[in-house]
Amino acid sequence: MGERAPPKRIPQVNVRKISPDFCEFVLSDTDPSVANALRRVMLSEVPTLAIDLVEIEVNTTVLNDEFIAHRLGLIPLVSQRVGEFTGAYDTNDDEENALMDIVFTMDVKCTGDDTLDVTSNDLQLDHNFQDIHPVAYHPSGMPMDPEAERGVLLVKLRKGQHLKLKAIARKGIGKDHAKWQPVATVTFQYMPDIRINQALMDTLSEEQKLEWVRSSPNPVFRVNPVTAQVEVLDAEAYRYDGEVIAKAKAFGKEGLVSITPRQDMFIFRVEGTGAMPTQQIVLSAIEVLLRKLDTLQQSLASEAAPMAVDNL
Amino acid sequence: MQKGTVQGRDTPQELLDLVQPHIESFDYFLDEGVKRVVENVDPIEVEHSTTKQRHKIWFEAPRIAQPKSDLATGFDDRLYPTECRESGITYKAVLSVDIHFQQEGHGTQHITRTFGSLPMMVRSSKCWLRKCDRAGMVRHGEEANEMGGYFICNGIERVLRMLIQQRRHYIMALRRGAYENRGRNFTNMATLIRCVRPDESSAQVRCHYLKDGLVNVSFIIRRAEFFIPAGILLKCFLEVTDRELFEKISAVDPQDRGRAATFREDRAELLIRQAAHYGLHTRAQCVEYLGQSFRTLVDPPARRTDYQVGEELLRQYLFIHLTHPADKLNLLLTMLHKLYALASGQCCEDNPDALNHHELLLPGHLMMRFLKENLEANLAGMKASIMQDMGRNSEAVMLTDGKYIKKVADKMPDIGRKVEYLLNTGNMTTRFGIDISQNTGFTVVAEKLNFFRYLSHFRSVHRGAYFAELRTTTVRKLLPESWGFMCPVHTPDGSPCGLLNHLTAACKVAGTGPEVPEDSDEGIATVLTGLGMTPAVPALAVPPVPVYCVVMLDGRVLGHVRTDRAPSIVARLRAIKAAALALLQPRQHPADAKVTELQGPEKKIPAGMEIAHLPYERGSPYPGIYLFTAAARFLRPVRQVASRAPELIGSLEQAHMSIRCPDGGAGGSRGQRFTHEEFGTGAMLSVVAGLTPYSDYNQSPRNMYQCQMGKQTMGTPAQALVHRPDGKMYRIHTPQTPLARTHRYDAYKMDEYPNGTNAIVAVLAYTGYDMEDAMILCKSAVDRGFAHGTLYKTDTVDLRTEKGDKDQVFAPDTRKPRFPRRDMGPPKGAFGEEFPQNIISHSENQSVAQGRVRASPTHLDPERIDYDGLPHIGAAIWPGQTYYNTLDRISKSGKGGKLKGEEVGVIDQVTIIGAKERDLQKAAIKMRISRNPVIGDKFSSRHGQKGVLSQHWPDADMPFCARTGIRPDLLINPHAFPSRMTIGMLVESMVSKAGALQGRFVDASPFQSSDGIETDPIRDFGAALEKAGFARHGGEIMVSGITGEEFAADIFIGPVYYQRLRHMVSDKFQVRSTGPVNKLTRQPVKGRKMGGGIRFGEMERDALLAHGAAYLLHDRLHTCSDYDVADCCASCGSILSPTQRPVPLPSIAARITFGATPTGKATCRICGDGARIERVALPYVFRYLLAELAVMNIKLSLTLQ
Repeated sequence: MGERAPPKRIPQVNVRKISPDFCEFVLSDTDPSVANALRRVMLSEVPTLAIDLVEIEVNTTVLNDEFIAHRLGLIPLVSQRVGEFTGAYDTNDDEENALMDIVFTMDVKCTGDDTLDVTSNDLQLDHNFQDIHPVAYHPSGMPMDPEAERGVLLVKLRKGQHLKLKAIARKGIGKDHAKWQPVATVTFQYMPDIRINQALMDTLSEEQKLEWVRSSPNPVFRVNPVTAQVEVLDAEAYRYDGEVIAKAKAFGKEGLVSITPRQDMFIFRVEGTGAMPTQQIVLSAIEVLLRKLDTLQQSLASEAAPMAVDNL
Repeated sequence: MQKGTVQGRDTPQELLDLVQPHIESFDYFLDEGVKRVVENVDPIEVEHSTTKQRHKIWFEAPRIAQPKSDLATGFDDRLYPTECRESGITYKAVLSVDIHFQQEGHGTQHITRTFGSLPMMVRSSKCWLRKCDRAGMVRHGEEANEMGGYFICNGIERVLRMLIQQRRHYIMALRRGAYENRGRNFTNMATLIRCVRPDESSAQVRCHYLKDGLVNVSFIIRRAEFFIPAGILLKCFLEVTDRELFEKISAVDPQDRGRAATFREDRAELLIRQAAHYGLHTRAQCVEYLGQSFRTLVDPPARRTDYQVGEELLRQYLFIHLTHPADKLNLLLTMLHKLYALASGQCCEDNPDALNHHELLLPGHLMMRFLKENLEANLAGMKASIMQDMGRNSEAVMLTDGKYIKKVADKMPDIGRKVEYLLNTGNMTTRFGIDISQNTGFTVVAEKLNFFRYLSHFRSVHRGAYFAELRTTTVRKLLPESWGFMCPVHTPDGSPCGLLNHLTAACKVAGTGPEVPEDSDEGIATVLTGLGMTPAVPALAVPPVPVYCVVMLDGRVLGHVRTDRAPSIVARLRAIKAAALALLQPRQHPADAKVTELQGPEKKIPAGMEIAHLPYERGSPYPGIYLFTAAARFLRPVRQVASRAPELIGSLEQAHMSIRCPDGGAGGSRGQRFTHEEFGTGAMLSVVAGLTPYSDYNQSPRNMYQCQMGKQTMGTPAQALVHRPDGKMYRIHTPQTPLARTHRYDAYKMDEYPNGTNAIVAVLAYTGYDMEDAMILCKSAVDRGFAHGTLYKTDTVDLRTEKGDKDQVFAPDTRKPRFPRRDMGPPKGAFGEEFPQNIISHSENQSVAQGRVRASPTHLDPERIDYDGLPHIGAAIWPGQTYYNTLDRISKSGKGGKLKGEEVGVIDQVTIIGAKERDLQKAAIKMRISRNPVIGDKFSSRHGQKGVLSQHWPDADMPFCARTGIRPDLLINPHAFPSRMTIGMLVESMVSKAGALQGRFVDASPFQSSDGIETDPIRDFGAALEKAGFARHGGEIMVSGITGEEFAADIFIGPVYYQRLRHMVSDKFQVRSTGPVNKLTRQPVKGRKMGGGIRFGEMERDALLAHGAAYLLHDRLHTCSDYDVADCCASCGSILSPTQRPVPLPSIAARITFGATPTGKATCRICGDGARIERVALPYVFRYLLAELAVMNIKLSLTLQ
């Protein structure tokens, strides 16, 4: 008989909102370490594609080569197909045919008298990967919806200025460079656990109840018009500002309410950069996490096996 | 949002006002001053030794041209400042003067002589850019907002520093211990006045009080001081009777029998007896006496009588600002009155360190003085050479012949070159001294590090080099008199503290006096007489002193007024002055202001006149109404309470005025009747100090530190970067406009030259890497471009040599390589970087086509250096690689310029500089060096909170806001706050956060409540934060990025504008394992450049000893230093005597077979054998010491055990 196994928990995910750029879900029945691991992986270990190498052939713009290269790198590329690629440092010798580079080209020259904006739309796509392109991409020259996003501005040209370059995108992770981060932010919030001491609450007058409810800067509580009881309206709106607790203290009713963050329920918010739909980011993060656990398990096993032999 | 940028057609007035003292005074020099100078250079007289004819030679009609290019081929030969900067030449224009000569009784003739070229101030009246609008500036390769105010000397921008001087034409009463040493009977009391001629040359006159009640007047001839008894001097100016003189000196009411009155009467009597004592009774006698005494010093022509010499002396050395003798007498009398008042305790002494007794030495005025001295010297030199010629061969000297005069005149030295020397070095070489106490440090380089630093050069005022060495600190003190003129915040700490000050933003300096001084003087006198002043007429006695007070205008006694009427007279004058200002600047005149109509002579009163009314009070400064219209005074605008009209006030009058804050409060003076009010509390701050947000919340020294750090920030140095060949220039790539800014920020259009970034700053102790003012940057923020920067280095290669012994041209290296070219492999940087690289992928590239380089990178020279010997634009140069090649056409030897340092540079620009030579001889190669933030770089907020970057912390490990997910860009430690009390930074953070949430910029000007604005940022913006769903005081719940746990406390987080300072590790780091050693001592050399080490000194040695770390000590001081093994003879104890004796070989053949001579056995040359020679380890310096001692015949022997 070994130690008592901890109660088996099956983490739950309850998706509240989901769109290509934003998603909100509640992760419950787990603990902060798992929640944080998921957040960290989404932030820095979900692979995406981004421009990594730039060969500049002509640059007579006002911005210098390094600066333009840096700006190019930060353009989010639509990278649903990132799984097919191999990172620059991940290749093994046997994988000579591994897909690595996506080559964009750009050749813009200003001939008019007006200032010409060079945007991500001026990048010419790689023939082999027509579906890998910057976010909100409308190839220049094509009729454009005036309402549509205009692409990411890179540099402005005046008459006679010329920019010609070759940009190679590669697979990478956010840990190496922020340009490979698939998310703008990812955060989780502890679900507040609000318990109102109704017995004590009943000792307050109507006005006091209302005053107490209003003392919270965000609408967390309300007085039920029917029962005249104070109830939690929106626990998540609570900011741990301590205003209601201070108010209760001012009334001389300490312990009117107890508010603690729950350690097993987290509200996640993921904001994508457009490189990947948020759903894919989360799934891909879980995949990375699983792979890490696998590696760990295998390493442990291989560590443990010879040890077992030694012990014999 | 366009508020912080320049919109209009022209450079904004606010920016031009910053350089106003420089430009205005230099314009005066160019337009008026030169003429005045030439008028005031006295003619020379020469008597021909054979013809005995007298000849007169003098200067006339000076002309200063506009800068011309000597390379121009077309019809447009205008020389523009950009060209000077880029080609490293001086922006200067020709000065020419007519030399007139005349034989007595004959007509005058003249020749024209040029005196070289005078450096021109940019945007002065002779500068081509004077009338350029912003588009024109850009066309000429200038900044769109070029302000000018500096000179370009050999391509470098230099500024003539403004220096503090004693106020001119104001009688000061002083007590100085040094005065007692002037002679017997001298006391420490004196009154003195600094007199300035219209040509800005000055001379001081002092009245010393003697113990016996007499007075000696001192003045200076050629740096030497001379004394005249006042009794004699009083009689020299006018023919006055003793009775009159007595009344004028005593100036008492016949009824007054008070102590003060008898005090003056007694001394008046003494003075009158003094002249009689010398047997001098009439004016003629006195003047003759002076002439006789000073004849040798003045050195007049022999035919002059003593009387004439005396007159000359009075004209040239005494009260030189006045011409009329009656005025001189009145001034001397007033000086005596003030001296007696000082001696009898009626008035106090004046503080020579207070700003109300100061004025400025302006660039234009310095040039006038310098020019005058040189013209005088030239004329004197001409006389000397004529005399020499006459001594040799008087027949050849034909003083009526233009040719001869021209020949002599051509010997005169070039003045332009002297001025250039002055500007280049800041050193002034004068023969007689031009009444300036220093002779170095007149110029500084106007560094364009960022706009703060640049503009500060034009606003800085130095107290004088003399005071820098002074042991006492009284001169450095901040005195209340400086209020509104000098910024109390903006002064450096350390040695120049309090000596190098900065003018406040609103402070102006009068660059010129009135256009026609006689006219305005007359107008002022008429107005004053109309207001009830008794004019000073020689026939009238001086009215009694406390009842009447003196009225002086620019050091001339105009008359006297009744003390009780003085306030109303002054009030009227102020009204007139305000009206004059309204006429002068009708556009700046506020709509609600009421000014009087000016009538008749009132119109002649200048708007910049200073009306200092010092009321009578026993023991306070000497009473009187002192009017000043002359140049070089500090001026600033205040508002008159009654009329709401602006008025320009000076520093002397301010001390006696009642000025309140704009909020209308009485401040600390309840019951005070205020006549004026400030336009804003910002009036007391300089431009740079006024840009610190919420500086009123900070502890005061922190604001001083910010003034320093603002000037060291890597920002936007210039907009016309392509036209700037500065040796080093820093620039940040992603600057932002601050969220919290003062109203000055918009007024001075600071968005044209932004200086920092709004960083999200969280104040928490995290990881320990933020201890002791270190700060942590989020790695992702840096990846995305936070504080990315570039260093531009320009290397100007000039192939011309002084001697001309070489004939070099730029050319590619065509020498046949000694070894077959092979791939060098990608070079490695100091940090192991491998990018960027030069990849030649063009098949049409000439070098590729000729097979000199392959299309793949080979890292050979031709990849970087083109056919002209100069590098490609965009070529990456690694340390040690050549980036240009030259060829000597005589010796046919090539040479390459190698890149020094440890960093990779990218060629940004190559500027070819033309010269008279046919071949290209000069080129400026500008290189770009990436300076993105690395550990060890310095950052600072705008509140004197500097810190060093200690880590690029991974994004995932950064703490994050639970609600928004924001990870801060920057973490600082909360310990940075309690002792430094920079609450302004906390307020800035909170307010910026609210501003960011509301999408607006926040006015963070200091002292808003005193400006009458009802505001409390913490309350107002706290409410805004709360409304946006954030905690009221800027705290947020944050979660540790490492563990995922919430922090127990709320974390203060918000945007703070951060500056990146120019101090970067890449310029400073120093490492050494092995490297160069000193030849003599074999110890490691010092110095970063040479790859030397850092001294492990005595104190470090002590530390190791204290720890008992003997092995380490031995390692540092011996093994890693000058470890040496020496042979030591144990019998004689010498290490100098043992030598390696070669083993004699029998034959040459043997030698050939053995190769080199085999080393033999060590033998001692003293003992004759090597029996007891031992090998010992010693520091090599020890051997050197023994050798040195041996030279001195000192033997030092070792005992081996």
